[in-house]
Amino acid sequence: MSPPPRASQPSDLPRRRPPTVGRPGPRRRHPAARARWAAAVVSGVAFSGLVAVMATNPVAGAAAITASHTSSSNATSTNSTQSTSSVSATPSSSSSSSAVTSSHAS
Amino acid sequence: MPADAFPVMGSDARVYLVGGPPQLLARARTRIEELERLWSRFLPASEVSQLNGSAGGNPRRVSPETFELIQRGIQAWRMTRGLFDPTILGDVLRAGYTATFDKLRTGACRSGDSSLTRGMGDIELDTHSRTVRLPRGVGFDPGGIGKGLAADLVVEELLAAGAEGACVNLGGDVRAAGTPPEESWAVAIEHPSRPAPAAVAQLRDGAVATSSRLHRRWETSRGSAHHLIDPRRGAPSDTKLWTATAIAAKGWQAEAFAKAAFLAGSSGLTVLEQLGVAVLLIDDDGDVLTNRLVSQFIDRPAERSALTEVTA
Repeated sequence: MSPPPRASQPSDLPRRRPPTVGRPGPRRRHPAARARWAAAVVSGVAFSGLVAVMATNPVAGAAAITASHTSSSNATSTNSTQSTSSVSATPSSSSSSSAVTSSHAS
Repeated sequence: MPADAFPVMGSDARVYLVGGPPQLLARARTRIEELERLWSRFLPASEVSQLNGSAGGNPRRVSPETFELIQRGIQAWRMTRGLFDPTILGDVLRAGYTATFDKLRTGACRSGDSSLTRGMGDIELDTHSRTVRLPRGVGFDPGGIGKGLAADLVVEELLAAGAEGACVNLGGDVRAAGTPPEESWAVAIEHPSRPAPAAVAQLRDGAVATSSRLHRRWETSRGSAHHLIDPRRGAPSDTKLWTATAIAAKGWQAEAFAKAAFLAGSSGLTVLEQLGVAVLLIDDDGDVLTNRLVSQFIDRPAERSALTEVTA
């Protein structure tokens, strides 16, 4: 018997799919096809993606960033070109069997 | 492991301690509640509300915590080239997010008028006098970055006060550092439509944050809306994703990168990888896409096989 839905689950949440038995349904992509699809999506849009969108964005484009350097120049000693190490988390060389907590949408 | 759970900042908080005096848990709760009183835009007396109220006027002296909040907001805005923008408050209000989410959910507040504009680039900070001046007509919304930064501050303060390890989870914004309870700080990344998590990130020191359009939704006269505002549109994002999760060094970074990744969609995976940020996306088919950095946090082969690694 499947458990009742959680009381806190909004009604507009996507429904959980039933377990897949046998062949996957028509909407499921084969893992290799998914990888190819994802790579194609990225390779197709990478150049027109995040960087280009940001660079041409009239809201957050170069002019705005230049302005920030002027008017909030005292704001911080760091800038937009932070080193990689400063934003990267440190992975653990060993692993725990159970999660301490979870990151979820809120 | 000593732990505490309580509601705060419109979300649920979880605090976990390894070692150190047990009264640190109570101290952490008090501190998080104090940060909420400083930063909530729903409390008229908070420093952020006072700052928003004085926009366009004289520079305002603020607490060290609020000064850091604004600094981090500017840093995050720069690092994401504007995709993360805490001055979208006007857009947030026009989208209908005018009250605490509990009130929105019960339909108590539907008005969405605001003349506020964005203006992150014109915020003036003075480190010597610790003053902030928002441009006229600009409002600052601490939103998620406040939770991420609060988790950072509290974890660092717990370690400084004698804890061997600490983890703070504020509404899904998780920061962990120091000695873990077992082999690592294992943080599950929930999948919205599956009972099992999409992955479990094994951290030694770091943060995990998730942005989603599935929660914090409300109804307006123009249809349903959600809280992830795209600054390019000035409206809730229409990206075809359920969630975006970022794994970064600090909570405030993870929060900003998760939001930017959500807004950028799959094209953001490789860009954020170049910055050193591991990103996991779940699209609206429920498929899990990651950049290459995620695999270094995932230990279990079964979890790895469920991920589609995206390379440029």
